[in-house]
Amino acid sequence: MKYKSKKQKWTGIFFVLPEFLGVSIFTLIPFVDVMHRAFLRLDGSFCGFDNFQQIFRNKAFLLAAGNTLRFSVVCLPLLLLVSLLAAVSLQTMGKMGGLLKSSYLLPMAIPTAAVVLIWKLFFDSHGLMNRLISLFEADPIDFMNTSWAFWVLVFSYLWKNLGYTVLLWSAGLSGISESIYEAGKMDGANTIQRFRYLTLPNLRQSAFTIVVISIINSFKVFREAYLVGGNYPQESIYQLQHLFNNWFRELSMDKMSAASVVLFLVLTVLVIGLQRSWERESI
Amino acid sequence: MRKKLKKFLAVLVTASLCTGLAGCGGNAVSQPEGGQPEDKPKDEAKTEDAKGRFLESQVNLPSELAEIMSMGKLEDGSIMIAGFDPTGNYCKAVSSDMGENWQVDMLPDFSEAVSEMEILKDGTILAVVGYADNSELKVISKDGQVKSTSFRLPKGAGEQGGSVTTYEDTDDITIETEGEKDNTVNEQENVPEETDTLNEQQGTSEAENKDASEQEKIDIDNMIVQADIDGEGNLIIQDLYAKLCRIDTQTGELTELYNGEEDGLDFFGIAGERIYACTENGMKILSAKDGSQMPEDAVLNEVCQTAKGDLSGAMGAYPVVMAEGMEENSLVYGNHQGVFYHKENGSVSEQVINGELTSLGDTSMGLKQLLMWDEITYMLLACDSVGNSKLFKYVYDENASAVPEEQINIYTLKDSTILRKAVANFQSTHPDVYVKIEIGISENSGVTAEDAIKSLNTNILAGKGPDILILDGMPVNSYLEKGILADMSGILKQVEDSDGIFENIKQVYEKDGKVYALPSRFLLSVIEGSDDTVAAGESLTKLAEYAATIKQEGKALFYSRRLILETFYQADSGTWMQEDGRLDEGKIKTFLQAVKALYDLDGDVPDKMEQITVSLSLNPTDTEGFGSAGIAVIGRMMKQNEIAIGTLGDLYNLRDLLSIEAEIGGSYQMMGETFLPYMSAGIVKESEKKTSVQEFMLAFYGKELAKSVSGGYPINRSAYEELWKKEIDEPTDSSLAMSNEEGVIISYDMIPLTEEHKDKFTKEIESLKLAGIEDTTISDLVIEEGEKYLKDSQSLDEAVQNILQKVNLYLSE
Repeated sequence: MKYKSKKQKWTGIFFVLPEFLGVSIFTLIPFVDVMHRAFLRLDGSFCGFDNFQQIFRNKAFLLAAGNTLRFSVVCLPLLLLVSLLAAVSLQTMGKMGGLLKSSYLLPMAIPTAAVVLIWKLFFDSHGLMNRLISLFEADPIDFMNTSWAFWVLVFSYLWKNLGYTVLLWSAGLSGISESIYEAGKMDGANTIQRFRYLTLPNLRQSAFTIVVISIINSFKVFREAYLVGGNYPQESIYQLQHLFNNWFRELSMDKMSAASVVLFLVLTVLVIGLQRSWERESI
Repeated sequence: MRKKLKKFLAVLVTASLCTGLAGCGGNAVSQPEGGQPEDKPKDEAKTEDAKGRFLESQVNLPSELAEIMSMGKLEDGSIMIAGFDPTGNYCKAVSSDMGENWQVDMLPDFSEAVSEMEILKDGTILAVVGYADNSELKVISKDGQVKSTSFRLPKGAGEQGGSVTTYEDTDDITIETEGEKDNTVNEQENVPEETDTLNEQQGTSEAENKDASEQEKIDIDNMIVQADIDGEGNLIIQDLYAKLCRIDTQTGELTELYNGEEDGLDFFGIAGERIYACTENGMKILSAKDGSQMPEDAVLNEVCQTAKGDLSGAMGAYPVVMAEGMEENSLVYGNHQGVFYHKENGSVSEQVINGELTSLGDTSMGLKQLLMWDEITYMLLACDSVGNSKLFKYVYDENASAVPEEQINIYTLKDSTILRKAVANFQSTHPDVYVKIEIGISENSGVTAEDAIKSLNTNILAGKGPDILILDGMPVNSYLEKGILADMSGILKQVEDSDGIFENIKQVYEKDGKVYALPSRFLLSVIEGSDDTVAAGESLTKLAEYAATIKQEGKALFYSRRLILETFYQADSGTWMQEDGRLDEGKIKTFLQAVKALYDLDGDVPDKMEQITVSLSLNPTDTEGFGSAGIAVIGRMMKQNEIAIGTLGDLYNLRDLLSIEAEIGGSYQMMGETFLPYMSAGIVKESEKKTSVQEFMLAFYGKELAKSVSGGYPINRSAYEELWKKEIDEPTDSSLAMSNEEGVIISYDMIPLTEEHKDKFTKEIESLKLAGIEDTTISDLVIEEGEKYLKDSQSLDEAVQNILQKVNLYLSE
């Protein structure tokens, strides 16, 4: 048996090795290098925590980090709630729900540049939204150059990622056995009670995956913001990626490395924290 | 069995991935333009073992010859060159020792100018005397006997026949159709009246009225654009209407070989019995005997397409020069990429001489003629940017390393003629050093400046960065902060001691006695117009107020509304930065208000002017230092605009401006105390100890380069003084004529520059204290928001706030 398991182990290792090598070369090793650079000046001399001090005193970093956090805090709950409701509704629709589910995925298939064009058509100071607003004899709003830009970004993020999240929820929902709901009905639970006491607990594992993926996707919204606003967009949509992009151009690798490490730590703490709290609840 | 299969699959997948990864990197395959694809090692400096290459040397030319029109190899192996001396007399020179010694002989005096000259193997010279219809072909034998043969070029294309008018003492040639002759200077009695009227309108009392009847005009139906000789000694010519004809030198009989009415004809070359005609649709290969077309050659088509972007042919030379190869049906051709040997219909060309290692890489040099002397020797006749003839000899040295062992890497965002010239000059004096230019944004590449800078930064971080940076368009302040650049004060001190530098400009870049970056050239922003206009130009606000008082309906104030923002930004931005490193809000507000007021004043002017300038940029890097003030002032003379604002880029610009002022009155002054830096360079810290890098920078800021290129004024004092001296001591007589929209011909003489002009101008330069903001991030942000404000897409306050928000965000990073 031992011999069999050792062989199995080596077979598994061989299968995993190519992927592991790829991840190591393109992700792990560069990340170790970044962590190393976070403690060095550009000329290679050791500077301790100077770079970290610099970034926490840097107004641009604080603004970008604040905006990124604000974006995540606003978007994630919205996305989770709306997509969950949509998934639950679709599930009750039967075959029609299956068709509608596919249509939710369409926004993901649209290239970012096309999305930006649509964005401009709608939200430009002479765009369709302002035309609509003018019908009500209200003053036009410069969506892209005021704090409204943040909400446009939120809308864009929700619109693009809703379908994917709905899909993930649907997968989780379909994994819940019908017998549980039947038992619940027999015990006299109404729709809301069944949703709260049966559906939600069984979706915990899916929720964890969805939250992590949504956090990752929230960083991708930078593409739209960059194409619309360039390197220096309206303040409210100036995010960490803008800052990293600009630092790279300005050769501020020391600050960039320190900020990357900080971001990594924050995300790690968040993910681990979420995982632990979910595990505790399930116990 | 299944387990064994699983194991086997696992090992196979792993092995495939490892093999695939190992195959990454390694040699890059590159294709030099006009040549064959060849495997090139990435670091060419490491090919130390490869030996043998052509070494360039410049042949000393006889001082009697001011300009060389043709060269030829004689049957006895000697070289003959023919041209004219400084007084305009034609002469020839022969050398039997490849240019060490020359025997100069005068040619017969011709009554008219020689337009083309070719040399046959037996020493006979064919000279086309005069232009077109009354041209003569003079056949001058080696012993001086002259035989004349008349010939007549074919009638020009088009139903109206067309006509060409040229004047003595002017290079300006206009083509007009017969129907318009009534409105042109061909009607001599009209010109003085028009000139008088124009002068009266412009109120000048000092203008000299040039009577066109004093100038001799020659009506020409057609003319020869290019000439060469075929293998049998016949003259092959290209005329103005894209036709190729052979002229029998004995009878003068003209035979049309090719009609370029459909495909056009840019230029042609001859190798033996083949004519290679570069047309719009590629290279046409024709028989020199009867003009019959041969099958196309893909390689030569590519050469022809590449040649279309080369403007050095505009100087009377050609983008590609061709000659017969040693083998049958082979040719050699030379362009700025080098000299190539090609067998007809072959799929490849062999690069014989690398342009990057020789003066061929100098894109400001015009190529006139190439000869394959023998298997190990090539001769190239060329001219520099000011028309001085140069003769280069390339001899194969089997002991010289194929690529010089030492290498300098220079990085520039955009290609530059000045940089190419600097490299060519340096390499000619340092054949053991290979200077490689890396261009961040090449034409049609689609790469943005940001992408290019990011790639550069990656290379710098990886330790594979260049030795020298041309800093135009780059984040100089970031590089300074990060300590990327080395202190150049030692090198600049040497230049200062030998030639002198404009101290006021250097001081702008000096920090604690160190200089990390310095422009080698600069431009000036000027305002030109009436005395009141110039007085108002003291500040933008005053100018806006004054402009409102002189604005007339339907008449433009400026030659381009679109470029107002950029022009005023260049002139005004030097004063915007406060001590704390942030932008001054008040100054930005004033700037935008003034520009908007001026922009709005011109709102009712037709868009024709805007369309003309829509693709123009005023950034010195984009224009290669070309000054825009000349266009603006000409516009004022043509009454297209009232106020001329732009940049002065060289002494010719200044002379143009002063000449027009002499004609129509007015004056100019500098706008603000700001200069526009151009061709700034810096040494990357890791390379500061390299001797070759230091020597290159010495040459880059040195006198020789500074005085031999155009585009901006040199920071090198000696070069600046010498340029002035040349203009003052050797003024060229010329005049310019042009017609405005009403068809009125307006002309002016170029006045000679004087010591007074020089003193005034130099004082003005010495008073400059600020550099225009070089940071393109800031300029892009200001101009982007400024354009929205000009188009009323946002209010003044919004524009100012957006600019401040974005720029301050940028500065806080």
